Amino acid sequence: MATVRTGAVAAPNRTATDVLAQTRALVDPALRAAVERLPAELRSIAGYHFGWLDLHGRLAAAAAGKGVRPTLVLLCAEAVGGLAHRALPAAVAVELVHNFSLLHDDVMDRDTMRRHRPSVWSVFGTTNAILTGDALHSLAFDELARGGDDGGGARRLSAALLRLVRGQCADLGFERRTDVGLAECLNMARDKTGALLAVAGALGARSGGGTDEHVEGLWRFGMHLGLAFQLADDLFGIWGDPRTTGKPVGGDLRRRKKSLPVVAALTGGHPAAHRLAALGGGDEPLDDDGIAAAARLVEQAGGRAWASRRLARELAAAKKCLAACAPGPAAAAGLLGLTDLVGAAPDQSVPRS
Amino acid sequence: MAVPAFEAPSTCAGTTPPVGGRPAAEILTWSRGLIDPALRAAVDGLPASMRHVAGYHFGWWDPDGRPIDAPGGKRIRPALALLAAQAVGGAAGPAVPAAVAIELVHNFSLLHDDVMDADAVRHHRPTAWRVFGANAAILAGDALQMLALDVLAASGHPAATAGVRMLGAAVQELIEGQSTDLSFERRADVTLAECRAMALAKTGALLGCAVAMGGSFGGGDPGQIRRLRRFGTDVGLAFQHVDDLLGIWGDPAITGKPVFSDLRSRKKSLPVVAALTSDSAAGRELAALYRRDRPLSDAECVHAAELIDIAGGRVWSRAEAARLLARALRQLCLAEPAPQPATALEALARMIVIRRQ
Repeated sequence: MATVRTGAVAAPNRTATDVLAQTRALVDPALRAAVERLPAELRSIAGYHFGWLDLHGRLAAAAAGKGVRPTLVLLCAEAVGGLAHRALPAAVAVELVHNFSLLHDDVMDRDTMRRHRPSVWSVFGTTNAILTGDALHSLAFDELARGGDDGGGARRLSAALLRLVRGQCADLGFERRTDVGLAECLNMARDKTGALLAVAGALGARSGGGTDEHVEGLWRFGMHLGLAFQLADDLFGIWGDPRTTGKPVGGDLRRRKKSLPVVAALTGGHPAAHRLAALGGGDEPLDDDGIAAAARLVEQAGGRAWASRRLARELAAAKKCLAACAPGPAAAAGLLGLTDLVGAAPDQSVPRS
Repeated sequence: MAVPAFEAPSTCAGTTPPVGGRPAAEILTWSRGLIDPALRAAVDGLPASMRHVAGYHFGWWDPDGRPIDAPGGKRIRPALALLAAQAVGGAAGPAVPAAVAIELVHNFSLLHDDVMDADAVRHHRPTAWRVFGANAAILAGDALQMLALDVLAASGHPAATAGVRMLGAAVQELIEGQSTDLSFERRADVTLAECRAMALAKTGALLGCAVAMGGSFGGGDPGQIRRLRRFGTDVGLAFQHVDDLLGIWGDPAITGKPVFSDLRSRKKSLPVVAALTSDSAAGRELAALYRRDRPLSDAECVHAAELIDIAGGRVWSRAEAARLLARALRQLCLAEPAPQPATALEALARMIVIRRQ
């Protein structure tokens, strides 16, 4: 294994892709070391999920996630003048809880694919998926404690996770309703996706020795970034190329998911909203024709345009929060690059996490 | 084969079981008086739908949210934590967050357990996943696990940081035990040592942690905390033996589960594995039954129970429970506990291990 410089993650002229790669070089060994502490059976299941092993436990090199969240942690540490490697436990903890939530999410949504491969529950069973998720959840806090957390980091992380669960509950509740409002859908997205990115920013700033203002500012940065992330993800979920999303085309529409563009379309007052609502009624999944029709109606009713505009707004708000923290230039460039990456519109070949 | 009468081990002071101490039921009532308000307050902070599921699971309300007072667990672990704090010379009040955190972790594992085992009944009521769906039960379990750490970290107690690590380690062991238990289902060659290690992880670890954390929050020294942990772990393993015996021979009116429930699912519990590895005709016949692919019929369950008995599994588990209890009480003594809490801890340990048989 090549020696890794414990140098900075951000550097002048380093592209977003390179920043992600640099983060991976730092975080990956620490993540693997953490997962090593799991019991044997769960260790190999986690290894499969992270793309290090195939389903027989043999070494593999499958696509892992992009690592946006741990990158955010490390960059925010550097942004306030701290060192990336001091924020490593927090970065690993955030990545562990993110993956715990993915494991449980796939069980709850019955998603058979994740990152272009069969999801853990579909290979190893629901019980193993629940247990492995629980184990990663616990491991995250263990990682924080080992990194010398005084309890403040743990409190922030558990508060963020409780928001995440709140968001997932709301999302679950939306499935059965026909009257979901846009404001509550945005709140759900803030909880489900924003909270973890926000705490990533906050934990990074804390690890980097930032002031309370820094921590708060980078928390807000993460929250706007999170909402942008969800908007981009929802746009991909309807109009994304399956080769890049790793999921079937229009998957969100097939399940009648009340994603942000859909809810915007339904509540926007356009005549097409009625036809969309009519299409959305019924219990069985939509077929390919239904999906194509729904996608057209969401666009006609203004859902796509609203989501794209809101995405741009959140990205701008994120950048403003960042600027207010007066970050070091290299870290600032890194975070701006990350912001642009997160908000990349559909049709660009950016693998989704 | 005659089953020997259960002999109550004496305390390390050489006397018979304590008289004049509070009975176990009274101790539990006292403990609940301290724990329940804090537990409810913690759950109150959850998102509404999670609060609803958790409160149902805890026995505080029915599926529609109407307040009831259903049995929702005896809350033994938090009681042990509070008593442990007192045993090392501390007060119960400051140990409440530790006790609440332990009970939250215990219940997170029950919520997930019931989903994973597809168990329909707990404490004589439909399980949370049956009422609200598996997804809600999974999320509620996740939420309780989060809440446990939050309660500890928010307590501001000097022992909180160490407590977070202790509880985290116990959760990891618990999960490891469950994972091992799951892997046993596919195997016909589980050894007694493996089964015991699994039970220690699955049940002993959290009980040990409850007592250790209580001792830590009470200001005990490392030696005391170590002894107290061993007391808790041994009580936990004894508890598992008793639980496994009840899983075969327990009265459904008391256990809240159908008779022979463990046998029906061909669980590799302690008395079962003892029988399977007994190198006897009965053990071999049991192994053949257990190799079947489908669940056992009622008649097969009755027969399997007889085989476990004949092969000595029942006697062995009872004897182990007694031995472990005695060992636990010795460890408790060696922790040099304050006398009244020690008597109460002993009473609870006996209640856990003896009374249910």
